[in-house]
Order: sequence, then structure tokens, then C-alpha cells
Amino acid sequence: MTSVIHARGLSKRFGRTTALDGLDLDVEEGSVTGFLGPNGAGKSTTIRILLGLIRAGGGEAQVLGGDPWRDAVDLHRRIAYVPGDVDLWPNLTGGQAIDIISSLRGDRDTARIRAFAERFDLDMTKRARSYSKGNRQKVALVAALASRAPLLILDEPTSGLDPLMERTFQDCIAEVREEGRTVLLSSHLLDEVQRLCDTVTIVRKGRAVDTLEVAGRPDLAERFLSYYGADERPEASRP
Amino acid sequence: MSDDLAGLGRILAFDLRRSWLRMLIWALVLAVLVLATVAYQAQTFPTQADRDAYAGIANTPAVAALTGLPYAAATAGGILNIKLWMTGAVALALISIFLVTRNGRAEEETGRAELLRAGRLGRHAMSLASWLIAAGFALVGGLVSGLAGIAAGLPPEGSLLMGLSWTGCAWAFIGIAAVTGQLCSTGRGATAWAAVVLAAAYLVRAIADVNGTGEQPSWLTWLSPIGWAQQTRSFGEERWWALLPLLALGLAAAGVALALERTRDLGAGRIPARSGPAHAAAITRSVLGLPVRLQRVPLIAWAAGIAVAAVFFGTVGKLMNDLVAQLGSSPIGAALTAGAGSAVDGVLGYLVLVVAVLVSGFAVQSALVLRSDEAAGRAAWEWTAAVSRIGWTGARLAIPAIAALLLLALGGALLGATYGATIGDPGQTGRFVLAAIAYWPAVLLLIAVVGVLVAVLPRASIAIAWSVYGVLVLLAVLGDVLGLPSGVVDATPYWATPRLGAVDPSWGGVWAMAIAAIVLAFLALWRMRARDEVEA
Repeated sequence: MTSVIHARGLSKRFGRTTALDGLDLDVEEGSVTGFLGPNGAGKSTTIRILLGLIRAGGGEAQVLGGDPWRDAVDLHRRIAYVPGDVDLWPNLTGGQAIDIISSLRGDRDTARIRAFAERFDLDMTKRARSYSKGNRQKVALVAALASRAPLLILDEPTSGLDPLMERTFQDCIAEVREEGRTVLLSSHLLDEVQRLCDTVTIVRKGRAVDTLEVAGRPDLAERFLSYYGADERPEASRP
Repeated sequence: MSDDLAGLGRILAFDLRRSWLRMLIWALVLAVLVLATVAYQAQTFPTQADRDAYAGIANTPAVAALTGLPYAAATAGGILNIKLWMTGAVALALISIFLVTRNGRAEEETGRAELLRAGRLGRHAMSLASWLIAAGFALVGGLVSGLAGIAAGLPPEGSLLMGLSWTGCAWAFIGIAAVTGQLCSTGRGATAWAAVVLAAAYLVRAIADVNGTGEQPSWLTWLSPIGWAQQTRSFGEERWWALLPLLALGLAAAGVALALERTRDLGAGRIPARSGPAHAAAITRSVLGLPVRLQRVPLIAWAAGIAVAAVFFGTVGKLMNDLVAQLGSSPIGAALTAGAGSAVDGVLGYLVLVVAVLVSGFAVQSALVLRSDEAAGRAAWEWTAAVSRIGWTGARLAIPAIAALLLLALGGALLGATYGATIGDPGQTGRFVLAAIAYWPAVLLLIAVVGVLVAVLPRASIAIAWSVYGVLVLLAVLGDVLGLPSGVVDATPYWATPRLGAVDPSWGGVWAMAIAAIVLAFLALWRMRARDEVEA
């Protein structure tokens, strides 16, 4: 199997804070890879480097065989992204936002958009200003799922969704995996990770501390929590 | 009611903490303007004979229309009023409007108000605090300006009344901003509608001042809060009672705003949210079309405002023409000419400059979309799509650049056509269009500077960009009044551009600005491509 995402020794500093400190990450083609870790561990920073929004301070990263910073425009035709905080254009409707995001990626398919909007029960005629957090999340999800991009990068995509919509999301990811597409899923929900992911990479303080297969691991929950680390909490909460 | 005000003290302290520095700076700027204007006018008109001569010609329709009908023009205080009163009154009112929105509706729009209101904070505490902070600022700003007048040696009573007339005008518009803050669900809408009312008040009193007899404006001035503030007549009859209607309007409007707030939901306006199309038009889905679509409303609003101003200036120009004809080649006529072919062209050139200043305001606002889109996280949608940073940045620089050219042409054409129609010479339009377009490189330079600021100092760029614009406008409008060295004033973009009807125009500065704008724009593009995304 080939790596769709391949990162070695990624580092990034913001002023005096070290966000990433030699992070390794591999995502195999056709897999759903979970990306876990406590808040502030460096998940979103990693994703932003993989998307070429920020440049790695050190280390190397390859996405779909290209350099995420140098080849950003070309790679983005083949990546669908759901950000952690979904900020939309307040004066435009959800439907307009989905159309814009899809068109600028270059694969707008109105029939698919309509189908996914229906599955997520999204009213596309409301202006983004009046959407709840969950509805903004649905806009981003519909725009990403309606694309046929070979790689989906999802940053806590179910935050704000109700349980029914969470189930719909899980169905959609299962379909994406059957189509042979690749997913990087950042999440805090152990249940979701266990249900959807093939492998999981756990991040702490800017480093990947463990990578493991999900299937057939009854001790998964304890293992996750050991990394979230009650023993080291005083250090983690230091400013 | 007391429950509705719970936490008022705390939120007042919080607002003060957020805004004290900008309030302090603005108050000091006003005071310094008073000192500088008085000092320079004392140099220009050192003796009573000089002031008497000035009084004989001060009352021109252009002065009446732009800065108010002159009175007591033979006194140092009267001259200060002619030069600075309108600028101070409008500036203090505008800043107060910004403050009301900043600590009120804008907080509600972002959702931060919800966080606080969920705690022990009364329904009206946040709004009331924003009004009180703005009112306190207006009072301090007015008093400091009055004290500056006293320090400069003007009569104490007149100085204080002048300062307090600015305060009173600001108080009236704090009331207006309080109401628009309840009606509109966005901070931008609240500020814009209050500013529209301010502009309308300015226009009404301008009509009244132009149609005055002698030193008294027509009765229409009593329909405008700015007119009431003018009618305090500091350094003249000194009518303290004219402050009362201003205070009454402020209080009554605040009462209306409280009543509106009592019955509405948090976050909601009075204008209900409408639904919209489920799909985006093809043009909205393109790299250039999206920012155009997003700026559609401000674009139309600025075009309308500039059109109204240009038509108004054109009408004033005719009145000027009549007056200058009487002055002929007297020394006063020569002073008004200021390097132009004729005195009337000198004044008309100043009006074209004001159009260019307005267009620049639009250009700065539009170029700063670069920052606001990125700060709000919306740029990430395009930067993670198949859109290059250069294309994205270029689109947001091209919109103000092209719109500025069109707006300059529009303003110049309407000014020229209106002026031409009133003097019966339709051939004027072309010359005004050219004079207005001459400012394009200056505006482009400003746009490019904003681009570089956003690229290099993203977090500070908005504050710096508006400060740069503010300083340039002050220099453009008051440059010769403040008595700065002519070398400094002439090097600023608006003065480096040849005025309408200049006898021996020098175009070197214009070319230099055009080249500098192109170089800086490339610098901005290059830097935007090389740097990390910086969200707010």
C-alpha cells in the first residue's frame, strides 16, 4: 500500500511556543486514520501544514505525492477539508457557501450536493449568520462529502452535530471507505474512532507517541486515556 | 429595572479597559488640532486689521456649505470656528458612533455578549455601558478641546462652549447610534445607518447655511442636530440653551433604544433575517467574483455617497464662481487661487480633492477585506481550494483599484456636470473627470500600502491602515491651515497630485506614486505567498 500522507519529523514554533516537535504521521491509501490527542497537542497545526496554510518549521511532509506548501493549489483539487471551526460568509446562504467551496476546489456536482444536504437535513436557503454551530458544521460536511476528492481531511467534524446526524456522518464515512478513498479524521470521540478507523495515531505535545491498529483491541479505551495522561496533567496545563 | 442593570459597573470598567487608549488618543488629537489651528491663524492674521479684512471675505458660499456659515469672523475664536468647528464636531460624533457599536452591537454579533449575559448581567447593562462610555468620552473630548482653546488664549466662555457644542452634537448621535444598534443585527449595519443620519444632518444644515441671510442661516438649520450645535454660536452670541435640544435628542433616542431592547431577543435586530437562494450564481463561484459579491453593498453605498457629495459640491461651485467674479484680481482673489489658473479653479480643485479623499476611504475599507477575510477564517476555504494565494490577494487588491478609478471618474463627472449646468457651460465635465482621475495613483499607492501592511503585519494592519489614512486626510484637508512646512505637505499623496486648473502642473509625483504602488503591490503579493495563515 502507498502512503497518501507521509510526514517525518515535522516541527513548528509560534513565537516561544513549540506546537510540533518532530511529528511522524502515515496515512495509507484507502484507509481511515484516526488522529487523536488532548487539546493543544498539535493536531490542527499538523493539518494546517498538510493543507499548506502554514509552512513546517522543519521535517518533511508529502501529501498525495506532492509538497503541501509548494504544490498547494494543485493538491487542493484532490483534497476535501472540514475545518475545526467552521466560519462562513455571514451574508451568504449555506447553499451558496457549498457551491463556492465546491467550485473553487473544481468539482461541483449539484446532484450530489442536493443528496447530501438531504441526508443531513440541511436548509440551504438560510443565511450563514443565522445557522447554529451544528448547521455550520453540516455545511462544511456536505461540501466535503459531495466532492469526489481522493483524500478527506476532517478536523473534529462531528462537534455540534446531534446523535442522529453523527450516525449519518458515520454512514457517509463508511461509504467513502468502500469507494477506496482516504480519510484523516481528527477526533476526540473514542466510540467514533473505534467504529470508523483502521489505524489511529496518538499525538501528545507535538509528537506522535503511538500508532496502532484499531481492529481487535479491547483495551483501546484505556490505552487512549493513558496518553491523555492524568499523571502528567500538571505539566500539560502549564501556560 | 435594577435587575436589568445588574453588572453595569463591572461592564463599564470592562469597556473602559478595552477602549481607553483609543479614546485618549482621539481626545488629544482634537486638543492638538485646536492649539495648532489657533497658533497658525494667529500668525496669518496677527493684527485686528488683518482679521477685519478677513471677515470681509470669509463669508463665501463654499465655506458656508462645507464648514458652516461664518460669524464673528473678525475674532480669533470666530476664525477657529470657521477652520475647525465642523471637522471637530463631525469627527467627535463619528468616533462616538464607533464606540457605541464597538462596545454594544458588535459584541452581540460576535456572541461574546451571550457569554456575559448568561452570567449576572442585566438586559440593558451592556448597551447602557456602551452609551455611557461614549458619552463620557464625548464630554472629555469637548472639555479638553475647550481647555486647549483657553490655553491658546481664547476667551474662556467661548472656548468651553465651543468644546461642549462638539460634546452635545456627539451626544445626539450617541442616541442615534443607540437606536440603530437596536434595529440592525450587525455592527457594520448599526455604524453605517448612524453615519447616514450624520451625513443627512450635515447636508440639511449645509443647505440652511448656504441659504442664510448675512450671518444667520435659514430656519432649516433647526432640523439638523449639527445645526443646533452650530447655533450655540460660541465666540458670538453664546447661546448655551442650544445645547438643550442636543441633550434632549440624545436622551429621547436612548429611551427609544431601551424600549426596543426590552422586547427583543439577544442577537436579533428589528429587521428579520430573510432566507436566500440555495445555490450560488456562476460569477459568485469565481475567485474574483466572490469578493465582488461580498462587497456589493458597500460598493453601492460608497458610490451613492460619493455621487451625492459630488452633486452637492457642483452646486456650491457655482456660488463660488459668482463671488470670485466680484473679487477680481485683488490680493484676496490671488490667495484663493493657490497656484491654479483662477481663484474659482482653486476652490473647485479643493472640492475635487475632497472627492478623492472620499474615494480613498472606500479603497482602504475595501483593501482591508484582505485582513478581515483571513482573520475570520474564511480565507482558509479558498486557500485550501484550488486557489493560489497570489490570485486570492490580487483579486482583493484589484477590486479597490478598479472601483477607485470608476468612483473618481463618477465623482469628477457629476461635480463637473453639476457645476457646468449651473454656470451654463456643459463643456466642464471632461476637465473635472481628468482632474479627479489624476488622484488615481495616490489612491493606488494607499491600496498598495494597505496590502503590504496586511502581508507583513497582519494583526496590526487594520489599525495602522486607518491611522495612515486619517493622517493623510488631515494633511490633505487641513495641510495649509496647520502651518506645517510646505515641503512636508507637498510630499503627501494628495498634495503631490496637481490640482484642477493648475497653471504649471508637475506630473513627476504622480508617476512616482504609480511606480511605488506597483512595486509595493508586488511586495504584498510576494509576502502573502510566503507567510503562514494568521487567523484572529
